[in-house]
Amino acid sequence: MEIKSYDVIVIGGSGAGIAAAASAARAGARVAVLSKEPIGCGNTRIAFGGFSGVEMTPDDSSEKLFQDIVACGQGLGNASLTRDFAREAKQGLAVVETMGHIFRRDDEGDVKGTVIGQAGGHRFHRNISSPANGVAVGGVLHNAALGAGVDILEEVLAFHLLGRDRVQGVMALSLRDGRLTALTAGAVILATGGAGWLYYPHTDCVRPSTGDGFALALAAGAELMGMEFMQFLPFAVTHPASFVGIFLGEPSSTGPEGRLVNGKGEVVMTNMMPKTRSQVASAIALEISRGNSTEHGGILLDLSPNLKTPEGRKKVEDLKNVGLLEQARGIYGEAAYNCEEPWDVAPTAHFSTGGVRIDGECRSTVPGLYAAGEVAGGVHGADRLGGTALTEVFLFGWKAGKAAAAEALSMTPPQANSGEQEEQARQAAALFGRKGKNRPISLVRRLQKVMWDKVGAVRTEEGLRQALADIDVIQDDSRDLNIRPGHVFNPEVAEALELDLMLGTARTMALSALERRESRGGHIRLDHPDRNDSEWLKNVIVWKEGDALRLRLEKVQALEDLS
Amino acid sequence: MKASIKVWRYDPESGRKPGLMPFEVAYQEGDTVLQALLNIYEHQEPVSFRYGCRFKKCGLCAIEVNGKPRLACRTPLRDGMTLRPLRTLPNISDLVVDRDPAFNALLPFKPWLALEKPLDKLPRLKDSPEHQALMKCNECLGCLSTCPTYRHDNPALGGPFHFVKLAQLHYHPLDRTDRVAQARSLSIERCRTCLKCRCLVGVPIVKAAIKPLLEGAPRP
Repeated sequence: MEIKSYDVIVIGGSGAGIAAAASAARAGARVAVLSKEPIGCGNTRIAFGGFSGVEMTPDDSSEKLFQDIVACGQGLGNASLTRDFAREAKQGLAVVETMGHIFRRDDEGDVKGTVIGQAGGHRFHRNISSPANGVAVGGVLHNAALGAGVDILEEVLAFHLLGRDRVQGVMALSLRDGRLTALTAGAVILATGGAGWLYYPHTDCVRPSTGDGFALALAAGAELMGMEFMQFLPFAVTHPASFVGIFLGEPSSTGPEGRLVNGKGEVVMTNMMPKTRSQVASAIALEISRGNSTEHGGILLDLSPNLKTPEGRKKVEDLKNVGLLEQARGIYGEAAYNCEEPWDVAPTAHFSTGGVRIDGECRSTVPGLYAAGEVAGGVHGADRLGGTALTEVFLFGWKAGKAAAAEALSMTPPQANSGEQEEQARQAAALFGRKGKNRPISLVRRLQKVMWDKVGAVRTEEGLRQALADIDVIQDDSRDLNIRPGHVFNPEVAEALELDLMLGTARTMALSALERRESRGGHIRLDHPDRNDSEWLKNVIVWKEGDALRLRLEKVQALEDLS
Repeated sequence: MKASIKVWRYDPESGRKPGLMPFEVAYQEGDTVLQALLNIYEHQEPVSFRYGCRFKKCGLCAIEVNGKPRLACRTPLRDGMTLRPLRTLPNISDLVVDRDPAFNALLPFKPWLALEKPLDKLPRLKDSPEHQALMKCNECLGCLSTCPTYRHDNPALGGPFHFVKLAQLHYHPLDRTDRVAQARSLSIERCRTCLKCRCLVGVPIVKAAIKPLLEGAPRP
């Protein structure tokens, strides 16, 4: 087995990963970035493209941004991380342009005035974007990594973190040739994104979003927080099958007159623009769970009343101009694009709000392991404001790279335990051509159905207990895998390794959701429908001891101390 | 409805001859070629192919449908279709090609924005309509299949993808490298009489990349 040595290894080749890799390299570290996909093909690329800044208009301040994030996150964020974010958001935007991207400018070449948008829950105009949305950001990442002098390992899957008590490297599988490699490093940065793909097809995330980083961190002994909080966007496609889950819009894009109508023709909600994503998504999920859906399993988003008022018509024109109606046009047709016909919509899994617990330098609770971007938890809390994720990705990616490089360069390079490496390699090698009963893809699909049905946009104790039992059964079935032979681009081997990580992440999400006996943000319990501040201003912290998941509750700072 | 389609199979380790394999897939109106591949993968054969976002942004699912480059995620499935990998890049496995030669061809030209130090704020700078249009490139590499002369194994012959990438930098107000000269060393002169290249997502390759680089259009 090949062994390679670096100062810093970054897992994940999208926004956070390339920001981290570039900043670690700039700090003098020898860096490798491992990416399951070609570089730049993560959720950053497919994002619609709002990046939140701060003080973009005269009356705004970092204190006000901080308050808005706390209000949206309903008090559950790590206040210190939220403050860092609010203070340094502009630095995150500068990182994106350092890599070669250009945000939308006004005629003078400045980022001000009409190029700054306002997303739901923000009291001020803060969000800037790219004329070509996330595609333009994704499109600079590959070359930015090259320019930083980073070793690019594409289509390489990290499936195990090496080391005990301290992370000392990564075990990786190359999809292209099936080769297994041990990579050692003084510091490892997780930039693996979220777990949206656990809900396929009910997600607008890319295929690699299988939540690998959560399970890798857990297995290495790190703590996760807030894993019950999956943010669902309210409006996604319900049919045809090819496009289920694809993003159609969010509350701020419904115009002043937009309304929700259920399958019986009853108006369910109006005035959605000021509402958060989770408020609207959970209302839709509730209607569907009551059996009030359309024949396609969704409910109707009717934007047509906007066409009757000047303000509404302007909103529809704006949406067309920024390209937000392209999906509606491509999938539901011209009348839908013109907002003359209602759209059949259902919620879609969008963003893992919780994640690996980090400090202000992106250090996890395990030495040598860092996390940045969606895989990290704490900046937001129970829910997240639109536009904050992309800024977080680049800001915290950059911070993580710098801190990890400083740590790695100040220590003696680790010698990872060869027994551990060989055992991991032996287990992975045994997957090729294994002749068991279950194909990995069929178990993946079973898990995704369990997550959507029982750990989705509305939850109950009974459903969550059943989900945990189902996950155990799938885990048992995963010991008897059937995998095609062949080392070159064998998707079933990668899927088998991913499945194991997906199960670890799914279990953590279900367990955390079972523990939180209230409704808040992206976590809605039908059996505990109200937010309960007297009991639940607490974070659910999960970690692993041996094979067992452990859980505890930690009080957050009181809301009044945060204002 | 049922569609009979043919899918390119190639397994370098099996000793089997590469070739088209027939499949029959059930589908509904509105289903895409990508959905058909996912159905085949799930219920029939572990065919390898790349995909990511299901709506034309990630660029990973570009293949050739009936001999023309297409994004599988935005191509409606029809009876009788033939699916093959992109013809200009080395075939690794089934519908998967090696993307490295396309990206590596630019390495000698330092295809990135080189700043002395990181920006600490967003500078005042003028973006151009050309640059904005070029940034829609999703790096799917489908354009290479529309170029009659691109060869991945000849470093002196660039393709549309490379000229788009160089033009992105040519139109970046902070880039200082001579991208026009680089395009010349990738034989952009031969494009003058051709201009057959097309983009799968509507990047105006000829207007915003080939012609400006051929003519040495002024930089912003």
